[in-house]
Amino acid sequence: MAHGQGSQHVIPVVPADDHPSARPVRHAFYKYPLLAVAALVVAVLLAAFVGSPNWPRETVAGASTRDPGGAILAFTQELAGTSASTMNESERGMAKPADVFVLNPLREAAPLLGADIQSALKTYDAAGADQRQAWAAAYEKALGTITPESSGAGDMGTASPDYSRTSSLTGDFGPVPTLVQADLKLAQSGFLEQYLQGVEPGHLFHLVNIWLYDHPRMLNAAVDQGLTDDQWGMVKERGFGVGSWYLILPAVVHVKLPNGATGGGFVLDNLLIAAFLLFAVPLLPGLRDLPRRLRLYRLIYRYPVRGELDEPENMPRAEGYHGRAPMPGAGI
Amino acid sequence: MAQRSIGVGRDSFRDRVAEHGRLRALLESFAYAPPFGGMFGKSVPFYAESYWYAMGGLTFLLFVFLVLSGILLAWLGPYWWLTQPFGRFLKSFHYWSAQGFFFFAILHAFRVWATGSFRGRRLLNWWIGLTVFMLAMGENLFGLLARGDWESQFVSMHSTDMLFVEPFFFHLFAPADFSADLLIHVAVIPVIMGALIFAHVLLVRLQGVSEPLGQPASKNGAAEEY
Repeated sequence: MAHGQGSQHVIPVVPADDHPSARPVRHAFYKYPLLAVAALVVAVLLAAFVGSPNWPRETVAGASTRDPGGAILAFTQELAGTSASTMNESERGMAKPADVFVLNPLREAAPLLGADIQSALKTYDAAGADQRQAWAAAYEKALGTITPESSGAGDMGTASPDYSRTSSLTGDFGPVPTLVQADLKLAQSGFLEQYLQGVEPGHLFHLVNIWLYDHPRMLNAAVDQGLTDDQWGMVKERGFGVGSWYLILPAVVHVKLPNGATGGGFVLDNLLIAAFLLFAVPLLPGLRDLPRRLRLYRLIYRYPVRGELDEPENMPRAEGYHGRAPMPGAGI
Repeated sequence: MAQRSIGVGRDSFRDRVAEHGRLRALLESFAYAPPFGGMFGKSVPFYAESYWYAMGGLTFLLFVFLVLSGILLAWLGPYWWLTQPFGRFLKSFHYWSAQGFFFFAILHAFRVWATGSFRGRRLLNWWIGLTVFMLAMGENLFGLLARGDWESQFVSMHSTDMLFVEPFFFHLFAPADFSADLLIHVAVIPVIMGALIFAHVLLVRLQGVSEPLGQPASKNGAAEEY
């Protein structure tokens, strides 16, 4: 806006006391439609040409077809009561994972599955709880013998048993191998996912996601991609460069602060940071004076260039400021 | 300095053309016409005529983008936004609007802090603004959980592992529950955010632009002229 007559006339003059001109001028509302259109255009262009994270959803059929050994392990652990879902059963408000993921779907499909499966279910139902547990635990242990040492996913992941060797396992497993193999067929065919969505129609992917997390594949993939919370996963997206960078504070709390990795510690540490921003920053003597001392406001306030205050658009106006604040000098 | 009286106290198109030129006067007409006519104050202190003071407004604008695109997304559902070209575009628009929301909110917060605009009675609005920001981070998490792609599935289970190992909200809620996540993202947090943003903007209008920070030397002269 300056009438350029040399560089000294276009550089704003910051007075020694930093005080900018507080003259009331007409607010330049013309900037707002331009800014709004610019923001809209940028968002539309980014949406059209860069897109957004959209890594395909994992399905029960997909996970159990690509890694049938992992599915066998998941079903066996659900029967044995050692799956991740069993550990967190109560806070997820679900019935026993053994029933939800293995026995109920098999009972539902039993008429179509043939005599072997029906008889295996009968044997399992007739046995006592200790016997069932012993069968499943023995089979889980046996699966361990055909599981490679490394999952390729570091210490955090779980390796899947080698599915091609499951038929070679021997031991007192009762009907457990028959049941989990039958459930694997249900999973691979897509029946299990449909079933799990159908038993909780108001909560579409609830049980599906819980089962997929029992399967080693999901966590292993996350570890491989560096997406777990410990790997700064909070600020990252799979297959997309721009993640939730603005969650860096909670991420630092989780990865770096003491106890940040536990649920309670994470919440407490975040609340402490919030309290610091809410109360200490604006109220604590010394800290609250920081903006005045740092003088960063000089980068923010508009200071007039020479002659600018004489231009028509900067003529003083009689009415009060934007809003109803009193004029400067009359207190805050 | 000679002070012309042109424009003072008057907002006619001709006055505005005299002050800002024809194009700008036309562009800013919205601020003087219904329904905006009664909403905008017409003057600001000269020092606040800086883009830094537009960051809060831009944050609000992106909140509006988020609400409008969010309503359409919620209307048509996850299979649409994950698979159909226009659905994916709108989901991406929603994503980048959220990125912009946080970007401008952080610049706005920096402007407010660096100009000491949390002083005095403005402290209440500092609290409201920070609360909106924290709610926005929570809203972001539930948006991620409600997205329905791989990341959404994984984070729902992984955050359960970390955050919700103890029964949460009396067993009423688990992040693994896509439907609950979507409901919270669409119908709970944004409503609270909207109410707080309304209060935030209302307080800004009631209190006006905050007074400038400066060094004590100003008491010895260098009086402001306006």
